[in-house]
Amino acid sequence: MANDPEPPPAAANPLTEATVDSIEQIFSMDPRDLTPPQTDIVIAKMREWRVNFKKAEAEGKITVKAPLKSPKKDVSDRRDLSSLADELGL
Amino acid sequence: MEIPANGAFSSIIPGLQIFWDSTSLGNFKKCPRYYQVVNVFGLAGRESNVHLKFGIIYHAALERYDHEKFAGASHEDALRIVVKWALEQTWDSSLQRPWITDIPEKTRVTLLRSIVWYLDEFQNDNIKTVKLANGLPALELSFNFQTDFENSKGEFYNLCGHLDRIGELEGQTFINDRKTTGATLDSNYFANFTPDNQMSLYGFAGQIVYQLPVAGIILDACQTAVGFSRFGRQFIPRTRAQLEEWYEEFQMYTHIAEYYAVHGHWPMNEKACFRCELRPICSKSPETREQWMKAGLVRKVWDPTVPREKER
Repeated sequence: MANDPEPPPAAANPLTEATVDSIEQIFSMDPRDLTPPQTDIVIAKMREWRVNFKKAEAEGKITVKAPLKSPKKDVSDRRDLSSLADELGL
Repeated sequence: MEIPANGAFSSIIPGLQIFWDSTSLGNFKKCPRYYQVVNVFGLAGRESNVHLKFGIIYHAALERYDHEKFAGASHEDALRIVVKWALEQTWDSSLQRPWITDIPEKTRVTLLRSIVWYLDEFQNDNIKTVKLANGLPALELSFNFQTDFENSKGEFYNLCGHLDRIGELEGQTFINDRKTTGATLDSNYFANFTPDNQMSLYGFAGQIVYQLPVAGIILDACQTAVGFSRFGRQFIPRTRAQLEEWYEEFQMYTHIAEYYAVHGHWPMNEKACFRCELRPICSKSPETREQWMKAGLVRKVWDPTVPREKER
């Protein structure tokens, strides 16, 4: 009994539908043609980035810039407007 | 400089705005000259179009998600619809290419990322969208109401705008507003919203227009960076007395606006020039400024009476 002939590689078959499954390819195609699985690939990639970001943040690799702190003001010589006006001769 | 047609402006006094929203009023409060260029002349920097488009699609995407959820869709189904829609909105069909920007923090990818991350972050949101008396969800509500104040020709001023969402949390009613920013979301960032013209107008509109006992605004901010989006939520309270104070001062600002419009002169507030996009124009000698405006700015008429859907 002869073996079945091996099927040709998919890429060699012109009737095989090309698969678009990388986010770069999906972002460069007309979104009106997007299939639900391709939309899911976009969502999955965004989620993968989020997980990576949260992990990096938890490990301290991404730090939040500390808010700028103004130096403490010396209030010992604070003058009110009337005393300032007197000083200026107004 | 020619004043373009704008439905928000008086037909009697050229250059006098009658229908005010938070953007135009905020611009006027910041600097009358800035307001003149942006709102009266209808001009904007080329970069501002990117920020505007990014913000409009971000808001609209979240609004679509809220509508889907209100109608009973699951998180995954609603997200899938929104992502496909956002991809379509950022695709140039005539050129068959994606939306391209020259601002690394505001790109198609950072927009999609911000939308997905925000919706995942708040997928189990405790804030529930209020159901209006007509059965519809309280989402992207446009308001436009006549105030008690009029100009010298008897035209009444109106206040208008859009509320992202009215929601309920632990028995209290809040206006839920969403923002994107490049700033770090620390206490300094949120402190900027009290006092704040936009938050006060929203609080005022919620109480006066929708007759709801609005306790304040819940602000959901999205920090958009090149490599990440980060979110922060903060309650922005407003008392009734604060809202009344804001409203009374609005009347005073309208008097000042009429004075400037009648005189055709909108003075600069040089204390507001720090990081202002118009500094390159205002720093030129007055006789050359019109040329610089024509060369450096693009026409972008801001008419707050146009429903947001038509802006897209």
